[in-house]
Amino acid sequence: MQAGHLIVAFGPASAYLLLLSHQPHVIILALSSAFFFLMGQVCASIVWISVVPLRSDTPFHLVVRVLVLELTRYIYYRLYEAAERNFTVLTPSVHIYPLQDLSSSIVSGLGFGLMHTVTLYGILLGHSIGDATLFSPRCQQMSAFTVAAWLSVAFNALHVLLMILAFDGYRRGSRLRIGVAGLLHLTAELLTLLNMAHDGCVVMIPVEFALVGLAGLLARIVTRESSYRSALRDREGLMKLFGAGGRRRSNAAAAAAAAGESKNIDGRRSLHLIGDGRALPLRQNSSVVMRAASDDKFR
Amino acid sequence: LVVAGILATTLFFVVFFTLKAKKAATVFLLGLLGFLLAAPWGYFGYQLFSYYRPFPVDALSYALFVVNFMICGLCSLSFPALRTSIFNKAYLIILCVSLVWPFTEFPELTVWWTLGLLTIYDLLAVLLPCGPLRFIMEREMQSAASLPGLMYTGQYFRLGLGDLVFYGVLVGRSMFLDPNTTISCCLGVSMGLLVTIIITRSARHLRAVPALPVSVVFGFIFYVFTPLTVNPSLERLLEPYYM
Repeated sequence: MQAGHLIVAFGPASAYLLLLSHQPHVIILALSSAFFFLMGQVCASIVWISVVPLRSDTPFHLVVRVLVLELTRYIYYRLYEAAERNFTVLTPSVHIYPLQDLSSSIVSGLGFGLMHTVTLYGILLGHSIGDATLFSPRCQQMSAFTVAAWLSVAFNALHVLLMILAFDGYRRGSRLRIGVAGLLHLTAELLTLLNMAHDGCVVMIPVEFALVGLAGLLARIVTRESSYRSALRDREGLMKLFGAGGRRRSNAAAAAAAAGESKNIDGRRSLHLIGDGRALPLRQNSSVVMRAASDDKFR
Repeated sequence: LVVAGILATTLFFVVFFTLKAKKAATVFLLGLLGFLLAAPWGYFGYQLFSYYRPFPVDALSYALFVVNFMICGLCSLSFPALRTSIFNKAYLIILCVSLVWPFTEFPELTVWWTLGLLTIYDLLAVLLPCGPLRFIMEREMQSAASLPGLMYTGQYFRLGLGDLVFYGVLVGRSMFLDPNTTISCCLGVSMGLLVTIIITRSARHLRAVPALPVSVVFGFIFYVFTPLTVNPSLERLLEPYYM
């Protein structure tokens, strides 16, 4: 029974990460986001503990947690941005995997989700080793471990999707999208309050999964937009580019990107990335433009 | 006491380097390493086998096994051709574990004072121009060969064994508290290492960067705050599951 719970809770995240782990940036991003999640948890619990009168007030606790975690997400994003800017300087090898928005945000979300599972479910899992099981008096249908395992799967998926949405929102600086991500997180956390109602867990788990489905729909809409920063559909072009390696080709590609019509998403940032004064509108892959910039640096 | 011992050993090595008595230093080091590789197996092995009893083992064959292990370890550590082999890395890690193990037996205050003082010492010794560790690093950069068995080689960095030992001490002691704390400390130390590597890359005028302080600070923050604040909050959050 413990093995089943373990696979349910940790399965999707670890499977995905193991599949992708041959790419170097995956593990670093996942570990860093997990670390930031832990830091966020520590800060959230410091804030919660220091407000002594409201200590037993669970909704307050959850709201504080969501706020601090969203702040942590933002801080993580800023660091990711800085790392992206310096990426080609730090690893001057030819066959680098480009930091694409979609895959990076998926992996970071997995890091968040993994840590969420470990901290909020790992303890219960540790207690579940042994012959007995544990049922809560308010939830007669499933053992406490089963409820927690399925809930952590939902939160894992939710963190991944929220990270995709949040990355997109932070790129554009659009408060609406960031707000939507935060609101989804808040709703998810507050839904866990349903667990305290009698027979609430039966309702809570499908509703959580429905919320995850909603987040997935939003993420799909966001990533299919034409102005999304980096889309997977450009991967073939990118692989051809980096497989050949070479200054002229990447410059040619950058020129092609510049020639193509695209919206200038963040004009300020595009100037900053290139550094030689040209205002290349950033099309779908900022990493292509960065290649051009780095080749200028390493003459 | 421990800090004094480590200071003494470092000064000992500095003296040896300056006198270029390389052979004697190497012999001494190999002897020390061999002892360290084998000793915990001998010392704790007795407790292990008498208490846990996984399978019957007699003293003679166990001693032969330990000696074999030790020689294997010495070989993999001292031949330069094997610098980046997996044996090297495995034996370095085992060495570090054997240094960590006694620390877990010390009383808590000793461990924390040692860690704190060594962090400060590391910071000073590497960064200050007159520090002994910096001296050794620069000598090592100049001379082609270096002492065997002290450095763990990643792709861009070399990590001194003492650093690994103290990370191990911190994480090892956190296991006494809580599995949550352990994982948090593990991640904290790893992230500290990442930050250290970033610092190493970005501050190129410094050849050697102290790897100890950043990771210890991160790990320590998690060590202190996780049991204090995160565990109560997790208790509250997980209450509806069993009440």
